[in-house]
Amino acid sequence: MLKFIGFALIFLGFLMVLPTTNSNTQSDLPKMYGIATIVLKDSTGNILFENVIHNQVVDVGTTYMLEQTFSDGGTDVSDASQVDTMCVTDALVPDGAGNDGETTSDFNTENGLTGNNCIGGISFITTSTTAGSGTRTFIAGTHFPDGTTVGGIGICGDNGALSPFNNCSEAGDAPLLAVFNTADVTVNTGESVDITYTLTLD
Amino acid sequence: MNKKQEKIFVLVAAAVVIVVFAFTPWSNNYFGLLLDTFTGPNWDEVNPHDVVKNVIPITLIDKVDNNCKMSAENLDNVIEHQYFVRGKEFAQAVNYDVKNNTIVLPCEMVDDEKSRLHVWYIIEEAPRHGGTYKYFVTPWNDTVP
Repeated sequence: MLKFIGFALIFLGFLMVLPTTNSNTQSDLPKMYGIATIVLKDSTGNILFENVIHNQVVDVGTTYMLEQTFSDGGTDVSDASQVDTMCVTDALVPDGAGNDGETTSDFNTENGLTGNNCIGGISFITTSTTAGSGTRTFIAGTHFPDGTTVGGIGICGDNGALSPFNNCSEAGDAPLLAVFNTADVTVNTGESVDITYTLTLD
Repeated sequence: MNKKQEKIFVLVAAAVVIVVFAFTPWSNNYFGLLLDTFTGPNWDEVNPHDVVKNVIPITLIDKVDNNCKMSAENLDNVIEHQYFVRGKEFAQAVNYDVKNNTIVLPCEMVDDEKSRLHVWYIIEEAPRHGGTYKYFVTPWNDTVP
């Protein structure tokens, strides 16, 4: 009997040193991530819903960041414009939130909103490790029709368009950087959505 | 093995386990995984990228014994999200009535008539604790998401 206890203990000790195949620790994980906070408010400012959710930085956005940072002998980023725009979409599951290959054009195409769903000219607040958009307010009846269900967010460039406007810029400006698949928030008459975006690079 | 050898074997094995337990970081081994199933995540240490946090206002409607029936508008936004793989399980845990937008919570969770229900979950793709969720209630005037 005793020897079985001994074997069990040896087995336990073995389990305690045997690494799992997925051995990422928090410190090993990529430290770049974007977080958005979405707050739905009624006409008197009462909070109806809050959602804090992560983004997907798409390939064109990653490439853009690398080319903005490193000299590579090309003229990849000829326009001085940078990421300064936040657009909401009525696509309930924006493809870019799960597809690295999403482009600005893809994001615009799947977005059924055709009016003023983008706020541009955002001056991001940067720290040593973050860039934050500050809170941007999208109002039903101003940025999209009353009763619109917002399903996601795109972070991109505006190409100098006067805010608010319709789509992420598809040329001559920063490309689509990141996409969020937010909770589906229906914004009725008099209601608004406050959105705050922060990208952390640590 | 005679009895004496068996005792020595057990003692040595126990000593090995104690030493490994004390000096090996088992967060990345199978023992750590086993412990995870019992202990749950340390939410302060989970990568923010992997956590989705939701807050909705809840208001007391009725109180029967120790069960508080609360209005929970917009909870469907939380439960039906693609990332919340255990949303239906959570809905059952809080007795969510989708038709009337109500939930039932133990009254000790609720201090005031109006409060904030927080629902946090870890996305399925996270390296550890994927799918784990928790919910708690804070006072209405607590505005930190």
